[in-house]
Amino acid sequence: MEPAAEFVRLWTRHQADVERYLFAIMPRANDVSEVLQDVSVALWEKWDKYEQQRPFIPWALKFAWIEVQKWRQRQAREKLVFSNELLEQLNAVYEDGMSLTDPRRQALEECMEKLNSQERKWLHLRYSKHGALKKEAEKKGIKMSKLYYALEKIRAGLLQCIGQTMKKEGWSDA
Amino acid sequence: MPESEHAHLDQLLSRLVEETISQDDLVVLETLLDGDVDAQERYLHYLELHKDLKDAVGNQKGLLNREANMIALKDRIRLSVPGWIGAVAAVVLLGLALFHLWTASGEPEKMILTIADCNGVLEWTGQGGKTDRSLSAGDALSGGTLEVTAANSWAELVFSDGTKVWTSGPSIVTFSEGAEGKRIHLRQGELSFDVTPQLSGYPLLLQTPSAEAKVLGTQFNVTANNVATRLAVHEGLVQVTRLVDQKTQDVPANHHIVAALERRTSFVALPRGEPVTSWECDLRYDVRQGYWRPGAEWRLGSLDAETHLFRGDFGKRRNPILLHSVVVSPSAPNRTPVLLTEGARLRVRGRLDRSCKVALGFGTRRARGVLSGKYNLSRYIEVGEGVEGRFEVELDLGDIPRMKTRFPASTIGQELGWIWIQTVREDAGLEVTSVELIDRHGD
Repeated sequence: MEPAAEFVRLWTRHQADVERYLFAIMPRANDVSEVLQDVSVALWEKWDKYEQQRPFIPWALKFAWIEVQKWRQRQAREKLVFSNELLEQLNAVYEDGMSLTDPRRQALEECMEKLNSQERKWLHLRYSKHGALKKEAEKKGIKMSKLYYALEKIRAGLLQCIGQTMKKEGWSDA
Repeated sequence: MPESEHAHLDQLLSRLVEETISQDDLVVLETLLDGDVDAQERYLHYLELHKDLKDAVGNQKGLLNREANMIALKDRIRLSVPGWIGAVAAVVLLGLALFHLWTASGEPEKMILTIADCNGVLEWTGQGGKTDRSLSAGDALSGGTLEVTAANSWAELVFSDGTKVWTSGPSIVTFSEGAEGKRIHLRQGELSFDVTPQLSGYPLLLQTPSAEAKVLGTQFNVTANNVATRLAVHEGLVQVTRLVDQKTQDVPANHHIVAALERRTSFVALPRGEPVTSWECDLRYDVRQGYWRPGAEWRLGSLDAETHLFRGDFGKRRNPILLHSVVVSPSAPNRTPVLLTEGARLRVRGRLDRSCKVALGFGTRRARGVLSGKYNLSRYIEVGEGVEGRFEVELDLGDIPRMKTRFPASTIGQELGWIWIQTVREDAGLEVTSVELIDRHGD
């Protein structure tokens, strides 16, 4: 396969994994899309150094981490950014738990089925169109803080359910 | 991190993902996360969940839309493909698949074993040298070699006649079965057997680097390394030959024997002791992991924690965790078994350079010696001033939770297998000076 075609194939397949990593380390969506672009450019520039027998994701995440650090430097004066030390710690913990990403996602699927219709509705409004939640709050005369609290509870419930499902399936560390 | 602190952390994380977090909140969040791995895991899980929910709604194949998609898909299938066409297609595909399998493989391999249950890191090398690291319960195996790499890994295997073999790591064992009967070669490690009666003249033959055993039907345990084989019989009789001089001994029920390459060692079957319910570890001889440091006038002898990498129960951690562990084992198969009884307590004494979280746990074996369960908890150990870092922890075994739901909830009636004391990631200079199991009648 042509090198460019192989790169496109692997990047298309694993871009979501890199994006997920960036999202965990630097939660603002705008920052993520900017850094994701930088990662894809960096990967393509170094593509001739990539050894095909090595797994792609760990290789790509190394570049993603470098781009996160560059982003951190660019944002040095920005107050809403974690310190370098904390980013390094988060990066290490993310790498440790990376193998459990897929089982967690599968557990989420099961947990979503346990939500009631109201909870589904709030999630749908929050994560579908930008501003849909605010519109609904205005329409129904509900304070946004109440909705944020409801979402916080739903997410906490889902996290608990994911943990329990993982335990039931025998995913634990010693 | 205590459960009550999750609420505060979640509140901040919710503000973070909703982008309503203030500078002050962010400082608090950073303080909560800094140096606390549990909080960092919670943070990452929260952010991952946020991303997954985003994808789920944004993507038409997403989780929230799945039900609607499934209904639409079912409708489309109903509309476009009549049922009988689907059925015929399935039969044709199955036929083609079977034909392909038959022509590709030639004569099918004879399966002699099935994995009844397993846990941890296992590697199977079958005929032709092909290696399989994804073994799971229900897999049928031809002859080959099983490598059980980690101390907490194990497998239960069943021959077609119902003979059961358990192996726990680290072990390397080769299985075969032909016209002459079953052949098992234990290169190193530990096996437990429950052998159904074999045909007269066709015993199960067990080989190790230092001994051979002929078995017609019995229950026994064996451990072997390059220089010695220890065998303990629970039921029936096993005939053991020491390879170095071809001497043979019959080992009856409740007896054990050691066959070593060193000719001058004793080769006599001895009775296995009655089980005990309390036990004091002899750190020098019962150590499985850790470094023995002899005592001096001013200090007790101790086991210093050994630093090693843990690759996860499933061997799937890309970045293993650094552990600092002391592991001791009271119940080698040839020794007196230590039975766990109601109200039993575990007492550990030691020393730490500083206060930190310490994981304490133990593994149990069923009566026949194979792994039965693992139990573990973490305690924050506060080291007071003026005691040179000394600590003492005493735990009721019933308060130590099982690590997987498939392990027995109660440890009563099981044999104590091994005990670990460890710090995770952080090297806090852990030393263990005594480990005791105290039954309810003890001090």
